Order: sequence, then C-alpha cells, then structure tokens
Amino acid sequence: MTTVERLDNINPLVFEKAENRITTDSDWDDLIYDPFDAREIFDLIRNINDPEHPLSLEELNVVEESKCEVDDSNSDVSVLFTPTIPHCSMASLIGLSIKLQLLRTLPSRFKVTVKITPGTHASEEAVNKQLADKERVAAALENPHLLQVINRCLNPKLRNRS
Amino acid sequence: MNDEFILNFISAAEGEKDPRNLVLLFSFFPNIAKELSLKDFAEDLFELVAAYFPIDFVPPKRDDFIVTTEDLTIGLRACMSSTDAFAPYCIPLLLEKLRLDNIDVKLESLRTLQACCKNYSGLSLRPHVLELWDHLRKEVIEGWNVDVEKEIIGSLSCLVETLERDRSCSDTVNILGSSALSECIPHLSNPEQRLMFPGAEVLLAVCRYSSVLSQTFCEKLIPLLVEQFSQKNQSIAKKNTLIVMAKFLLQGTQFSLFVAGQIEKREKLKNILDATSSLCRTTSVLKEALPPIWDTILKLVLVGDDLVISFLLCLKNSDIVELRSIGMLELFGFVKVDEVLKLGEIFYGRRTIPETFPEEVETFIKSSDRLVSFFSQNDLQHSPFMVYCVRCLLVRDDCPLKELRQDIAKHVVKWSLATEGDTCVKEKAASTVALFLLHSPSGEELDSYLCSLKQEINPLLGADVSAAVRLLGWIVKGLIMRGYPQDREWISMLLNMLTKEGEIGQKASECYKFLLKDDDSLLTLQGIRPKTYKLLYRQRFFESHIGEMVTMFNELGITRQGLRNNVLLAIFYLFPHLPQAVLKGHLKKLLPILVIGLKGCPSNDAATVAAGAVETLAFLLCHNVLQKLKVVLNDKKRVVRRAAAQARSAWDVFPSIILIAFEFCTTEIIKVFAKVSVINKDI
Repeated sequence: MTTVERLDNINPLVFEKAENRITTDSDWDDLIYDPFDAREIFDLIRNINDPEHPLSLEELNVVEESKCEVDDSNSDVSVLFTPTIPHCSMASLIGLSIKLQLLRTLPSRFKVTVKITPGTHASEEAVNKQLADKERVAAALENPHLLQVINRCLNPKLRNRS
Repeated sequence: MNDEFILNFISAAEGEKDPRNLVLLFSFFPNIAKELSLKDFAEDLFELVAAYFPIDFVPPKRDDFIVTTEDLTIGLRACMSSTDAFAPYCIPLLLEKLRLDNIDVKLESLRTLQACCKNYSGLSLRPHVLELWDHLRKEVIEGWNVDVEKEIIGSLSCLVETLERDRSCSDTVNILGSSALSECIPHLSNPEQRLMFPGAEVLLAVCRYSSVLSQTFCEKLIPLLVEQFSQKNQSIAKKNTLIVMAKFLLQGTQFSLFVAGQIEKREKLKNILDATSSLCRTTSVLKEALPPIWDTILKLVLVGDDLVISFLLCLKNSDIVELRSIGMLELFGFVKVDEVLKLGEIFYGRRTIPETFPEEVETFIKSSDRLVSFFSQNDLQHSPFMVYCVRCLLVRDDCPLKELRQDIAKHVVKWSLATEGDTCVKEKAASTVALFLLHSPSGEELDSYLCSLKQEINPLLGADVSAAVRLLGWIVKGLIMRGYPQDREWISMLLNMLTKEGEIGQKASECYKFLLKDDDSLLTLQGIRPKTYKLLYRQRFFESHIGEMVTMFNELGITRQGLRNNVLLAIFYLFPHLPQAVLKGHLKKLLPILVIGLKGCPSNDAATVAAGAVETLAFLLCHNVLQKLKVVLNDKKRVVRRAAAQARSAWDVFPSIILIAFEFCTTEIIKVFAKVSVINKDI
C-alpha cells in the first residue's frame, strides 16, 4: 500500500479485542431457538478491516458491542459506529462496509440501519442519509473500484493480492 | 372622345401624392393604356407614371389604410409594362436608372425590365437590345451583388424569350448570341477564376429560351469543356468545368438535342460520361454535378440504354446512397429485366450486401413478376445482388411463387456450393437456403425436396468440404427454426460430422456458432417472422440434444483430443444464445466437461470461446451456492448461523481460490475469473 498520501489519522488509539464468545449448553440443543443478540451482530462486523490501517474496526473502537442493537421479533438491526476523528474522510466508506457485511451475512428479513454515533463526526447527517438510502447504496456498490476496496476491507485474505 | 378622355385623365391624375389614391390609380391605369389607342399621347401617359419611378415610400406610423411600399412598387411595375407603346420611353428610362449606383434602384429597374419584356413585342425591343446587352454584361462582370446578378440573368432570359417570339428578330438574336459567346468563352476557359460561373450563367440565360442558340452553344461549348476537363489538373478546375458542363447538358436536353438521330452528340455524351466516371472518387463533386447529368440521362433512357450503363458505372464507385437508390427506381420502370439485374450489380455489386436496402427497392423487387419468371428460367451467375433478389422473392406470400420456389432454390443451392467466388456471397446463399426452408409451406413438397437435397449433399461431402458442411449447417438451422418433424436425421448428420477427422470436424463445429443465433437480419426481412417460425426452437433443440452431445464428448477418450475439442467447442458455441435458466438445469453434467475440456484447449480463439462459456457457468455456480447459503443464515441455532456467515464471507473469495487451484488454465480464462471475482452483486 502506498504511503504517498497522508493518512487521515496517522496515530490512532488501539483498543483491546474482545474474547471469542463462549458457547453454552443451550447452544447445542436442537430444540431451543437462539435469538439474535447484540453480541452476534458485533461478531459479524468486528473483524472488518479499516481501509487505511492494518487494524480491525474493533481494535480502533469504531464499533462496539454496546452500540449494536437487535430486535429479533421485529427483524430490526441498528449499528452505531464512531469514526476515529471528527473529520475522517473514510467515514462513509466504513459505514458502507459495515452495511454490506450485514446485508450479506444476515437473513434477508432483517432491516439494517447503520449510523454514525451522534456528535462524533462533522458531516454525520449527510453520511447517515447516504447510508439510509437504498438506491444510493446500490449505485455505490455498482462501482467496481469501490467494490474492490470494500471487499478488501471485508476479506483480509484479499488484502495481499492487488 | 378618346383623346379628350386621355388628356383629361392625365391632367386629373397629374401630381397625385396620396399613396391610397396612387394605389387606385395604378390599378386601373394598365387597362386604360391597353384598351385605348394612345397615338400621340403615349409619351405623356407614360410620363405620368414614370415620374414615380422608382418608388421611394416610407409608410407613416399611423396609417389607417395600410399602404405598403410593395403595393405601390408592384402597381407601378404593372403600369409601366402594360403596353408596347411605352417601349421607346420605358427602356431608355430603365437603362438610365440602371446606370445609377443604388442597388435597390438597380433591382427595381431589372424587375421592371423583366415585366416589360413579357408584355412588349420583339420589334419594339429590338433597337435597344444591344445597348441593354452591353450594359448588363458589364454589370455581371463588374458587379459584386448576388441579387443583382440573379435579376440580370432573369432579364437576359426574358429578353431573348421576347425576341424569339418574333420571327423578324432572329438576326438580333444571332448577333446577341455571337456577342455572348465571344465575351464568355474566355471566362469559361479559366475555370479557376471567379468569372467562370457568371460567364456560364450569362450564356445559359441567353440560350434558355432559344433552341437555335442552345444548339450553337452546346455544339461549341461541350466539346470545349470536355477537352478542358481532361487537360486541367487541379480538382477545383475540374469540378467547375464539370458543373458547367452538366448545366449545358441539361439545357441541351430541354431542346432534345441529344436525340438518336444525331449520332455525334451521343458520342460526345459518352465521352463526358467516361470523364465523369473517372472523377467519381471525389464525392463532393458528384453531389453537385450529378443531378443535372442524371436528369439528362433519364431523358435519354427512352432512347438508348448503353449510355445508362456507362453512367451507372460512375455511380458504382460513389458512396452517395441517395443518388443510387433514386436512380435505380426510376430506371426500373424503363429497362428490361436483365438490365435490372445488371443495374443491381452495378449499384450493389460490392462484396457484402448492405443490411438494409431502401424500402422502395425492396418493394419493387418483391412485386416484380418479371423477375420471378426470369429467375426460374435462366441460369445465373451468383453475386450479392442476385442473392438479395432471391431473398426478397422468397419472402413473398402470394401463390404464383410456389411452383417457382423450388427452381429458385436450386439456383441458390448451386451458388452456395460454387467452387469459385466470394465466400461472403456463398455464406449468404447458404443462409438463403435456410430462409427458403423456413418460408416453405409444410407438406409433401417440402419432404420430397429435402430428400432430393440429401442425395445432393452426401457425395459433396467428399469434395468441397467447407461449403457443403456450411450448407448442411444452414439447412439444419432452417429446419429447427420451423420445428420440422423429421429434423432428427439432419441433426444427427451434422453431429456425426463433428467426429470426422480434419477439416470436416472443424467446419462442423463452426456451424454451431450460428445454429442457435438470433440472426434477424439473415433470416427475416424487415423484422417480420414467418408463420412457420417456432419461438422456442433454441430451448427445444438444446434440451433434446445436449444429452447426446455430452455423451459423445465423454465417449471420446483423451486419445482423440482433436475430435473432443470439436464437440466441446460445438457445445460452447451454443451457450451465449440460451437463457440462463436453461443452462442451470444442466449445470451438473456441463461442469465436468468444462473442467476436463479446459485442460486441452489448443488455439487461442477456442480459448476465448471457452472462457465465455466458463464465465457463464461459473457465474451460475456462484449464484446457486449463494442462494442455498442464504437459507441457512436464518437457521435457529446460533452456531449454525455463525458457520453459515463465515461460509458466506468465504464465498466472496471463491474465484480467487479457483484461480489458485487451476494452475493449468490459459491466460484468457484467468482474465475471466478475475472479472468474475468483481461481480459480487449478491445483495
């Protein structure tokens, strides 16, 4: 990756990763239905890579478990993410990656809402609007270059091939 | 009583200033001038109105009766030109006004002159002719105003016309003519200079209404221009010469100068046409020069047709489609049938038949019964236009054609199997056979025809292989498009060709390229499909025969790689024309072939085809898997869901993994996979 352009945030704070989820007995019982919970959603998105740094969103504290909300019966998912700096230009890209990951790995019945944590970004309204608009999201994902960048964020293995 | 009236009228009307009254005056003045005998009062009467010439009137702003300058001008003009008796006074007056510098005055004088010429007699004009000619000629040479020039030309024509009407003025006409010639020939000899066109215009104006002059001029000028054309080298010189020549030609035809009896003229015309044909590279020249020449030709067609052909040779090299099509239609009416075909050759005799012909041409061919009988009787050389004619004829709905169909079809079969000639034409001929099969009504006729065709083809498969196999391919296409019940044996024939060694096998596999192709341009004219056409013929063909083809592939071991490739390619060529739903159903048996077959793909085009096929299949595969995964994502157990989510993420990486796995893939296929990995649109 070229370092000719200045990164937005050269020296971000790094946080600790959460431990893997421990399975309980009820998890293996075929008769019980496991509802979707916040931890599950968090697990889905925590390993997404930041576009600039070789760190995951969890390590940069962009996503937290406490900011993921699920309502299984209403099929509703809401995620708030916090860009590392208030003028982060990658904010919409990160939001899009989160959204795409959730759309791919959740059943289609879920309505996914991705927003910036209020008060943490200069253009949060604009970004929220973009992410909420289905058509804009679809249009963005038709851009092959953009799609390539997002795929690299979502799939660390692809990082090494260019 | 007469004289009294005139005298009183003059005194009453003299000095009138009100425009409304003047309009009124001008309206009945001509009647007075014409009906009454004027004797000595002509001059006074003329002076009455001449005082107002030329009109210089600006309508006042609040004009209740709205008198325009135009009304007054036209009225006055009518008055001044109303009677011959005014000639001795009018013409000098006009000459005087012409000498002024004011453009409007000049224009008005010229217009009035034209009006006068119409009403005056030749005799009264005669004394003034030479003076007029002198002045007008100078105006043209020195003048810079286009409108004035136009009016002068008009005036000259009118003048000569009037003189012509009067027998006694013929010597004046001749003097005028020779003067004009001596003046303008030097200009015509310098086509690069500005005066060439004005000079030509003047000559044309002078001879426009006079047959004698036309004859003299054409006789002198046309050879001169032809000479000049071949001598001059610059294109602009040539162009100008040609244009002027064309104008004179046209003028000549007005007086039917080039009639059969006058052989010398025809010779000259022929020379001209040869000269034109050599110039045909520059289309801009053609655009200007051809229409008048064309009109000439049309008038001549009634007389002699070899001229027509020479002329058309000119057009052959040109790219002006409009001219071509117009010409063709008009000629069809006049010319005999073989001429029609010759015409078609010349017009469309290029290697490829254009996709669309002008509609009128098509309609003409379709409706021409002469062509039909002509075709059925004669043995014809194959060529693009012939093939095109046949196609048009075959598509006709009506009955008289039925009996003749088979005769025509015989021609086409022969053409497609010919040993020499253009491949493109042969290809079109073969596709015409398919067209014929498609349009034939079902019944015994068709069956017997096909039997005879089979007998014809079999021995040929030994001789000119490619042509025969191609013809076979098209026959099969025609038959499957109409869902012919006994098509199985033909299809098997083609299938078996795939397993023959060498050229036959390769050509056979190439047939599969167009077998299912949606080739509207080839098989239907103007987009209308015949009643026999079966809409789902592709699916039907694929479903019935893919099993056979796969079995054939599997039975051919690795030892017979070449033949295997034939079958593989044949299968691959079919893919692009089938809807994905159909392919999905056979995914299971197609994928193994893909994998085995890809290892041994020899040539580069084969690889590209294979790549295309692989792209389709890989995409389908991805799609299939992802659909199934989606269901699992909603499983009730969290552990299961987790595994599914991981699998789903992994499948985004699927194509890259395939890449790593298939090391032996050719470069084409690698590119395809790289493309597929970007197509992750499964949202």
